[in-house]
Amino acid sequence: MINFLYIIPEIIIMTVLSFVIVLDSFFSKNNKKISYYFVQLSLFLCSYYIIDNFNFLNKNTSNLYNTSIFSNIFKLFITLSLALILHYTYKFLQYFKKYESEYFMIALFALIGMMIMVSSEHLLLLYLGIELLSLSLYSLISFNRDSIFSSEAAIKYYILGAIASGFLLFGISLIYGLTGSLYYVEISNQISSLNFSSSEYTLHAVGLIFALTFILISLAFKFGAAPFHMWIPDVYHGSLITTTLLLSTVPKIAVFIIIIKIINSIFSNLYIFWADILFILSILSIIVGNVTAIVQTNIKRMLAYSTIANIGFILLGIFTGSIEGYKAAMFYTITYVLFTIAAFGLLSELKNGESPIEEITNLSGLNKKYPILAFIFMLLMLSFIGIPPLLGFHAKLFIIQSLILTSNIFLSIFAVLMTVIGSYYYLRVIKVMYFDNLDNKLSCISTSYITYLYVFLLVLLGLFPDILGQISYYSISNL
Amino acid sequence: MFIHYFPILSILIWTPIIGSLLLLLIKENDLPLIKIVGFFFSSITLIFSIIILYNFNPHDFSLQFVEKIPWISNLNINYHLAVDGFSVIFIILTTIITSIIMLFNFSEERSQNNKFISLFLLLEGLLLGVFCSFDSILFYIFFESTLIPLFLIIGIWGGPNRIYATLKFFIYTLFGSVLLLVSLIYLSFKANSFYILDYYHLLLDLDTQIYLFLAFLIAFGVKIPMWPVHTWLPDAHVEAPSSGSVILAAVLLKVGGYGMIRFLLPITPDAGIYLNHIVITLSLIAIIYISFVALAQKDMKKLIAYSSIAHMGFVTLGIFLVFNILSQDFGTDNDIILVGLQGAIMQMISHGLISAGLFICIGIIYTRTKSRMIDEQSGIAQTMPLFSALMMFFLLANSGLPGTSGFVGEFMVLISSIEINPFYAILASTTLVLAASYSLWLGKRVLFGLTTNENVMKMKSLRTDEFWSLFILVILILLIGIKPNLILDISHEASYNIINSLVTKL
Repeated sequence: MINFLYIIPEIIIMTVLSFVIVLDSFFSKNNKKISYYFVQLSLFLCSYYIIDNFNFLNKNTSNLYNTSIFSNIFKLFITLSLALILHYTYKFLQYFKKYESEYFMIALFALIGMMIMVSSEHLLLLYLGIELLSLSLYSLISFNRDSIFSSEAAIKYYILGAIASGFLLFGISLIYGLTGSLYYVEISNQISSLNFSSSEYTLHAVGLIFALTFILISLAFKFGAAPFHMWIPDVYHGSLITTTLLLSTVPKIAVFIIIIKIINSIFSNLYIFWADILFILSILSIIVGNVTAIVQTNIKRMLAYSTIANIGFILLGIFTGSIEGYKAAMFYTITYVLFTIAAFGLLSELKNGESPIEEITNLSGLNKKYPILAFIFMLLMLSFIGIPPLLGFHAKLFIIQSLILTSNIFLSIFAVLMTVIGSYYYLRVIKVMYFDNLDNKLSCISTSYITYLYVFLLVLLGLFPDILGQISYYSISNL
Repeated sequence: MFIHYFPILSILIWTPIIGSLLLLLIKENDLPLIKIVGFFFSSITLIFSIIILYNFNPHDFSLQFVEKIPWISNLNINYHLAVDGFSVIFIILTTIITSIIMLFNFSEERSQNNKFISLFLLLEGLLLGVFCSFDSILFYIFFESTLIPLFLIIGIWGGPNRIYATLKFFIYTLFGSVLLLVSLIYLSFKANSFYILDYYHLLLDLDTQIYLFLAFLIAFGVKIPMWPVHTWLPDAHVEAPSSGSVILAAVLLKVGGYGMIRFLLPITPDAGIYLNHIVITLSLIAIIYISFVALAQKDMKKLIAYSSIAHMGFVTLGIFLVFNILSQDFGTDNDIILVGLQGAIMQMISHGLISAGLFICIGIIYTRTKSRMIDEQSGIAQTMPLFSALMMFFLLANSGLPGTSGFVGEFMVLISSIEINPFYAILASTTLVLAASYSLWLGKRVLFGLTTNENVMKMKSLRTDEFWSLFILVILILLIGIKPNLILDISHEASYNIINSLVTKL
């Protein structure tokens, strides 16, 4: 029997969304912000529901749409992160007089897309989720329609995204042709019955490896791993800083989850093949991200390359193919997302004259005018480098530990040496904020206590990393 | 004793850190209050460290004041603090030097604010953490986080070329320490624990040991610093404000030596024996070549910075001679080994006090003449006779005058090397001439002669706080120089322990 209560979180979001879309057109221009509050309300309602019915939701064992502990923890995390992101977005759009209620509705569509991705146990459903997310992101990127960069970014992302979706569909159709099913469980059973050593199944195996490669390429594109990273800097650069904030955080969690799920539940028998692919992706991402970021002058582009480098680290964790590696990767993803939200959120609260922050040099002398903001931003940068006792250090510690457990010692040395190279461009931001003279055009839209509180919590999490460690342990063991 | 019921080490570490946070609440321009609060917290920490020293039992082999709380349960990492003979000495050094810096700061006229003092207290807390941690990841966390305060101190309050210097400092030391992280995790994987003393019992094959040895050598060699990786130190010293230079030379460099004794010596003995000639050669190059470099300097701070590197060469020589002795099979006579190792520790403490004194002297000159160049000063003795006497004392101690602590460490290392290989001893003893030349020559050019510079003529005599910050150091240097057993007794059991675990492993 189908129990719709399992998908109440999705239903809540969908209901509020349909309601707000209609209602919004009746609001006068001054009252449009009510829609924003409705959107926030739906997010909190949804997270409340997930927390309140946590044990109930986990009992769902549908083959099509599974709400396990793993996916519920992530849904909660995505929803709450989105609430924080929309808070920053709202303030930013209000200040620059770009407020449109549609922005927040589209963000909710993206949320539904991500929820579907997280929960789906069926490849076509997964595709639907990815497309819903991508279509929402295309429109969010082109939201700043007066800017030529914004349109360029949207078109670039759209075209490349369409190609990536094509790859994904091709991989899915290959799998369907070879195994006759699109359910994760059934595909997994089919694959595990194959014996890869005997020559009998060679054709089957080659087909599966093709499918695996196509699917991983498409996911690598969505994730932003080199060499499929070309869109990231341009898109980050072209869109509004709050869109970049949205784009660089929550979708990465969703993509991380489907990579883990696909690799662990469908292709776990093909470890030797996907490990090689992930190895190349992660090494390239770390090199490209860290080295190219050094020459960037635009802070969004710099953080874009830093994203690529971080994704390389996450993939290193998955590459080990061990539970420790998955845990480490999950810890790293959560840390990365938490700190990226803080970094972009803080940047969105600053302005250079009457325009948003664009260049790194726009931040010069931040310490002299806003010492607390500068201190917070410095903590974030140090965490990205991996300086203890911040959370970023523990994330790197877990990844390196998982690499050493699987005897990839030279890979771990490579990874830490690349962080030293990467430290340079984060330090440059600190240098600009602390050691350079004040840029008089620099000012703050509004000092938000939410940022202070949020970063304070992040620092506490760094001092007591066991909390996040246990969460990732718990959710990975319930994969 | 009642002290054992208190988490005294946690109190010791967290007092200055809490003090540094409290300082941020004080108004930025209320300088007198800020300085008093800074001095208050550093003296409280000093008192705690003296309590620890008083209750420390030097004849006890085991760790004392142990505190152990699970911290990251997934990886079995503990918040594990304890002290042994080495730790106690360095804890006292750190707290004394920080208190002296706080005292000296009363006279600094540079534009300072609450953050400046706050960063020093933070640095003190983190350094104390380094010396107290017996969980390797906790050690690493404290070790690495000491970078941040000094990075900011040099970067914000430094000289004109500060950005280059501070970035170089940060990236150099980060490069060294990330390799340390990988080695520590590797060792924990082998030993199934992050407890440092568990690493000592590991039996590793030679290849693994060589990799670990090199990683430790890079990590701690950059910090100490050893010859080919020393270039960050002169830059950092020249650009750092005086108090920054003091803590950098007096304590931060010692972290490298402490790390070598704590990790490199007991964990990788076979690799050490295999590579001992290379590392001893590096130490000798540091001693001789860097002394010549020091002779050629025109900037007082740079000169003392190079002299620090040369003195640290003695520390590494003393440590690596242990491997050389072990390779030569001196039977069961551990005393010769002990002399070298104890000499290295002695040299670190003594250099900590002497270099602190010298950098404070240079700071005093700089606040008056606004210049650190040697040829822009001369004849300071005519305007500041008391100061000149004190500075001359530090310079003499720096050149290893018997009766000062500078003599004891070098002498012990030389004794140990002459028993093993007279060739090393001859090369190392050239430093006695070279150190005397650059120290005394500096004194001659800066303190004596005719007063030519107008700024020097207008120099004001020493303030009380400046005098006391120097005078306390003078007393300590003389005390240790006359009765070196004050230090050697405390570290004796710990050194003996390490040598023992080495000998039994071979």
